Amino acid sequence: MIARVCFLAAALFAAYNALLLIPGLTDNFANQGWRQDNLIRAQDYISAEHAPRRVIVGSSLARRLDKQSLGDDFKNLALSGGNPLTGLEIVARSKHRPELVVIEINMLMKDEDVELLDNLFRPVIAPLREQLPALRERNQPSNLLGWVVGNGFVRGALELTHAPTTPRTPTLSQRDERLFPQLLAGQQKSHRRAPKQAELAGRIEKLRSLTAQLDARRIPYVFLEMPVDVSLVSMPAAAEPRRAVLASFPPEHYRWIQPDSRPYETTDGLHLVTAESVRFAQVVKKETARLY
Amino acid sequence: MLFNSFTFGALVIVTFVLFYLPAWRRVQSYILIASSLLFYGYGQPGLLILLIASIALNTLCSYRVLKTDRLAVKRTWAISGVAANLLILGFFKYSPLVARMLRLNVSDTESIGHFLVTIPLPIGISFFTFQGISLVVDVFRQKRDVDSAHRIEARSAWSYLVDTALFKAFFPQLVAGPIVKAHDFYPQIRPKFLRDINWNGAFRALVIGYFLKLVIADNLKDLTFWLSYPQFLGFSTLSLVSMLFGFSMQIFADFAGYSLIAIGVARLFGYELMENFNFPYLAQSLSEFWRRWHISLSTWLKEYLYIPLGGNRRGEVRTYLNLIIVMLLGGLWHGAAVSYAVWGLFHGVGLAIERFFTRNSTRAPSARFAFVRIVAVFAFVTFAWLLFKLPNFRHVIAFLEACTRNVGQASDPVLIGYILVYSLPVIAYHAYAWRREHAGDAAPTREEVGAWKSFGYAACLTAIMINSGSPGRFIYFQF
Repeated sequence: MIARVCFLAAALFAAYNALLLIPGLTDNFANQGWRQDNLIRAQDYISAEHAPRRVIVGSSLARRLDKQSLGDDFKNLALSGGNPLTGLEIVARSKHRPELVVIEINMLMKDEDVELLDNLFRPVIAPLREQLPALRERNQPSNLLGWVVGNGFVRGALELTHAPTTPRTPTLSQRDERLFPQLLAGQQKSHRRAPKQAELAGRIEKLRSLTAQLDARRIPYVFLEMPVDVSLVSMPAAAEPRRAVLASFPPEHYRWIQPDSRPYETTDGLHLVTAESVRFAQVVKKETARLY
Repeated sequence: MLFNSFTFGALVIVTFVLFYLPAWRRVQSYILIASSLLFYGYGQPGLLILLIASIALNTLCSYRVLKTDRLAVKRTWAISGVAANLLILGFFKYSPLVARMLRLNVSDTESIGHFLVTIPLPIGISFFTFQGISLVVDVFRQKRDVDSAHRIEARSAWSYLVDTALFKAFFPQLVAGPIVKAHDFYPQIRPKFLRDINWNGAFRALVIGYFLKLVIADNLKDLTFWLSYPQFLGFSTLSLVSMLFGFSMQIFADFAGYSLIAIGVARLFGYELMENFNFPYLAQSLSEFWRRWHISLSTWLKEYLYIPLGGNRRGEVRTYLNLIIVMLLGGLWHGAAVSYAVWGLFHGVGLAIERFFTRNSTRAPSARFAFVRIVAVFAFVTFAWLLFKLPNFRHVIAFLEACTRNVGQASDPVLIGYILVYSLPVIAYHAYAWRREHAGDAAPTREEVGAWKSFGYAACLTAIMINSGSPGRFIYFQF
């Protein structure tokens, strides 16, 4: 029985790989959510033929930057729910040598996504993924199946003509005035807690180590702090990591993108509303062009 | 160390090779114990101190019970053993709850309150302390004429220590069960041979287990992520209900998957662990649900708590009370939070009410309404899972408010679509079992089933390769 099952599974696997070679088949494959979206973007970055000119690493805050406003030069490798160290490590370990890396520092204290890194650089599987399209995250059969069931069956059955056609991002794209006070209060509560000094020192050390790897490969980088709700800016969870990064990478010696001084509107205290993500993306584009 | 990690795969392979080396047959138990300690202490070696202390304590108490003929001495050692296990569990698991209930000062880092809320919860403690209790109670209850299939023996103090270490630490079931009972495990400790391995059984359990965990539970995890406060507040009622439905499927796939992997790995080493799930969402009553869900826990609670409390032998009212007490404690076993107690109470009261209404019924339930009953039990159980997903009781209330408030809001068809896609295999898995249980003479022949079964297993294996989700911790690890 075991031999028969393994043979059948190998045949199914080979057939699916062959199927994926049909041009246009994967055009309707949608991602299932933000976690898979992170993985797909990271795998795409690693397996791309050419390096993008500019790469952004960071968290869901920089992830929200409007793609169109940034333009094709930018590859947004900021990961929802992540910190800049994960993206930096991907850049440092991949074969590509971008012309500039933009490092968003807001969520430095979030945990590094070791599972994602393990998935990307796992021995045997990672090289196989280059050869066998069925092993790539974006080609999962359920990415088509779920999209078809959702946008076909469920949408039709429930007559949801105005509902979104893509999966939800972890944050709202517009401010919901009814929810905003609760969401902001939640952020304020979590921002009152100062990070543990030992943990912060560890993150700074890791940041130094990864930027040193970029230096060694002569990849320039620039730091960026995404604008957040004014009430959060000077709270311990935001201020202490900022102070630590500034102390290690002072603006006199390292380049920092200077945002404009106007306040920005957010959906929850942290993430920019769509219009503001367009405005700030333009600032990032202009500033990086000025610096490099 | 997670079952879905490459490190675990390497550990199993290395242990397997060493375990079956003919020259090392005499030290098979030592090999398994060494691997189990490596498995448990991997990344957190400090945890080993507690596990080793627990092994030593349970060996001492149960050995003294075994080796004395005087009932009073036996009883003293047995009570001491049970009490020590409960104290360990209480200290590590319930201290934060006690501190909060007593409203102790927890903000001052020098205070006792702060000390209590910062006690770390060692992984798997609920499982291995229950196994310790099982050992002490089983040797205390053991009669002289018990058959060899259930006999717990001690040839020498050292061999008994080794056996107990293996029973408590056996890595496939160490951190999340199935909870093995001493009288089921000790008689299985003997030299194992490669030729005796139940290869097909192990393979089937591993394929289905990994499929349920990696393909179903890990993908659903990312879809039910939104069932956390305050994220769920903005979703429509239909989306919220769909996510709760998805979580019900996820928790089954996660835990049943874990149990099957544990059973499959144990089979590779010649040990048979008890079945932990028997298609629970086919249950037509709550009592049947508990005979099908987390069977090792429900039978443990029945053997070591419900029956000693008097079971159903002390009248109707006492039976209802016993059911509620057992389920309440079962709820608290899952976690030191009010919501777990409420979850247990919810099930306990449900069981008591069900028993009240069926107490005089001698007729078998009509098959015509089987589907309605299955749906009703599933809805009850799924609603209760909300307390698992949202352990903060205020968030549960907020969820229910959002359900009533957001009725007219636009739903998210893509999210619902994905939840349906990942739930379908679980539904099909149960439908297959339903057909098997009820087909009777119309059941397909062995050959017909064989071909489809092979295809089913091959499809599961392929899905593991090409459609696994991002690796997530097993939900029951937190308990």
